[in-house]
Amino acid sequence: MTSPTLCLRGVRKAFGGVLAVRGVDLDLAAGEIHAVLGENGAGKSTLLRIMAGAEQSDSGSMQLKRQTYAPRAPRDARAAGVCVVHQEPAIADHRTVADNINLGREISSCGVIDRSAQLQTARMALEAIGAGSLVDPAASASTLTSGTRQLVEIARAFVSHPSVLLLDEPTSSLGRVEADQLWVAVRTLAKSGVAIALVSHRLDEVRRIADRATILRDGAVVESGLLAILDDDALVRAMSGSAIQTPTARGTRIAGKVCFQEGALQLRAGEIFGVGGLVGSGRSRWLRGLAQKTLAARVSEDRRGEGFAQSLSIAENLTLPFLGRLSRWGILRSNDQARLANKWRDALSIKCTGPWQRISELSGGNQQKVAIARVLEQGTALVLVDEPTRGIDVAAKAAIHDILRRAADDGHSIVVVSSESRELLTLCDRIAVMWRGTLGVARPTHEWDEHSIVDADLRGSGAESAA
Amino acid sequence: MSAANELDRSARFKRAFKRLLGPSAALCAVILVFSLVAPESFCTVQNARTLSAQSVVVVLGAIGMTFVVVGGGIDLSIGSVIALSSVAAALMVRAGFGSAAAGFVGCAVGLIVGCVNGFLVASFRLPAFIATLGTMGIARGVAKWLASQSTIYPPEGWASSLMAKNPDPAWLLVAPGVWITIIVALAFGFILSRTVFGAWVTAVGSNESAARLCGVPVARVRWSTYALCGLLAGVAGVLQFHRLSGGDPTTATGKELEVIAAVVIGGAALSGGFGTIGGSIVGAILMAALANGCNLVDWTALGRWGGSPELAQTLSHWFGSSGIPNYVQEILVGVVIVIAALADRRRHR
Repeated sequence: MTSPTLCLRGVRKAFGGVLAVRGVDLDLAAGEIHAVLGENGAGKSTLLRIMAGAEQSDSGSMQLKRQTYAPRAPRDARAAGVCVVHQEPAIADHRTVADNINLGREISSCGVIDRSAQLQTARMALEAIGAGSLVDPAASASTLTSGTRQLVEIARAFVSHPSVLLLDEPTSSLGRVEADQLWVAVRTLAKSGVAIALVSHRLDEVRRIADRATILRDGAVVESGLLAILDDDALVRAMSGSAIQTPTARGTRIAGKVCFQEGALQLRAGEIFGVGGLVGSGRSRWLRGLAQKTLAARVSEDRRGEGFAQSLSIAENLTLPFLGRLSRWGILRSNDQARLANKWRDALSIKCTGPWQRISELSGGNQQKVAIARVLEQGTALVLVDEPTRGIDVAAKAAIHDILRRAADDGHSIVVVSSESRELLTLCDRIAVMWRGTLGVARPTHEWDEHSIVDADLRGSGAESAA
Repeated sequence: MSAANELDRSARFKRAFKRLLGPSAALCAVILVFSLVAPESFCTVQNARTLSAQSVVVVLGAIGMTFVVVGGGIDLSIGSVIALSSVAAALMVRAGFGSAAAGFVGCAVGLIVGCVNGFLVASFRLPAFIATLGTMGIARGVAKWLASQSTIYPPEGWASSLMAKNPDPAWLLVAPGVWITIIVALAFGFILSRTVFGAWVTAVGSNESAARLCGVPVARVRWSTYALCGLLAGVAGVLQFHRLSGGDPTTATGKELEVIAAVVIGGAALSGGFGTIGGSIVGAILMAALANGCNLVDWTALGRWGGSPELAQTLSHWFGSSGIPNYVQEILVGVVIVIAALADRRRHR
């Protein structure tokens, strides 16, 4: 075998003290499609971003065709011949397909774009990847479907003669036929000698398309080899962790009164109900819908985007839903705001300099505590929490689990959505897994283990009757 | 630890105060410079009265604009609304109505345009820049139409003294209109910083989806900021009418940019979520002082307090013996705006 096109050795990357990638070795060989697998948060995307120059590794080295490769920006990576096809294709809707394919490497003379040459190149690229009959290079990009947009991205990569192509869950929003068209294009590229890395969650498609797989867990490689040798169970076991411990789940509890019922789904007071599933399986949308139906308080997974007004203080953010209660004739009693913030600071041990400190100055864990304080203070019986501990260190994670357990003991009915099977197992009383938009059967925690949750994440729980 | 310390009342005021420091220092510097180069004309009681009367329109506009900007929007129609409401008030007086009725109608006209703006932005989700650009043209056109393209000079009524530089009971010191502005400023400063409505405006501007998650009536809050801005533009228009003793449909052209500049100089973030009434007023007075001072500069004074006579002579050769020409004023205002934006950038880094 010739030496691999792209070599990673001991690549590490930490975000604020949390190691996302811890010493990964990876070899991408020319002409080979290499799947990178792992649970959400295992470090796949970070690894891809490092290869694409969007992030810089803290230590470790990369070699591209035996030359040191250390891209400082996506531009450097492109110049070196490393192309990325993103989950959400970057297509300029107002230009033609040909313009998009030649974007950034326009064919021009004296600064004037040569339209016919661009069209010619685009047509050749589309035909080369087997999409010549599917996409008209002269059409406006706004007429493309989500499937053909991906094809245009691949054609764009093809035009730049890349040596490495990185695919980040390219089929997550595609139907079967569109996905098949995409795989034809990818395989064509591989045959022409491009080294291809593919991040995907769909085991079936990985098995059909890829030659080799590397499995990450907690930022480290746990398994790597030819897919012909690894069977599905081995893959799932590697992703979920070989040493499956029986987690210390909450003891069985006397279920309280029913807070919410829809179909077979019952949420009871004093219970923590866990919802698993992959990112993009429809969990967050389901939770948002539930919040609208029940007027329940919700903690968003997106602290920065939906969670907090970053320019405001802890007290202002914490009291925003019930300012009416803290005012007389519309005039705020800021002392009451501060008192409430202090009450929760003590109750949840939120580390801050005072109630009027800016929320953006707090650590992720402490921000999350404020978010939880806010929904608990709202006093609704049902509390919905999306990804309670994403991006939070271990100690804060334990503290937040403890807070949620105490809240359940106080009679709240809590729904937790999490990508981490271990979190669901330690925190929840009952668990159901969301798979491609439907919620699977809810079963008590002791009937689940990490293996069965990951399996349901990837292949569904079997009986997808609306829980 | 004492209770006061525990609630940490001072921390939030410290933050706002820090933001006010920059604009206030700039205002002091401008006043100081003009006091040096135009000692006899700038630094006098009479000029203080003139300056305060000149500031009224921009200050009132800036108060309304602060609400819109803090709420994450922008209102370009404010200059046209000032003209429209001054024309409306003038027409009322000419038609024989009393000053009070005329003032009321002027304010109501402002409120109506503000409501339309709010409706377009909050209910139809038009971009604020485009929606208010449209009403800016409409209001200006309607004003010219109503006034048949010329200034309306109605007979003077009791309210004409509202903007008199030398107020009738002399103990008022400044024009009654200035006092009205001060009261409005205090009231709306309180509303923005201490009421539920103010907190909602800030939250909507800071992060709309977070505010929605928390049950804040986002559309209603946004709508209110535009309505309020229109109302204050209406008040400004009525006072402008009394200051000019006529309803001029071309008055306050380009005032919207001056007002927005005042708000930005005052430390508000154009991206929303932060801004104070105090800062915006300082910004507005800074703009007015620049315009006022530039007209009063006396280059020969430079020589008197120790500068070289040659320099004074060169300057008066370039710029004329008194006053700084308009184009230099425009350059100065532009420079101040850029400096304010740079200062804001630094704060956010």
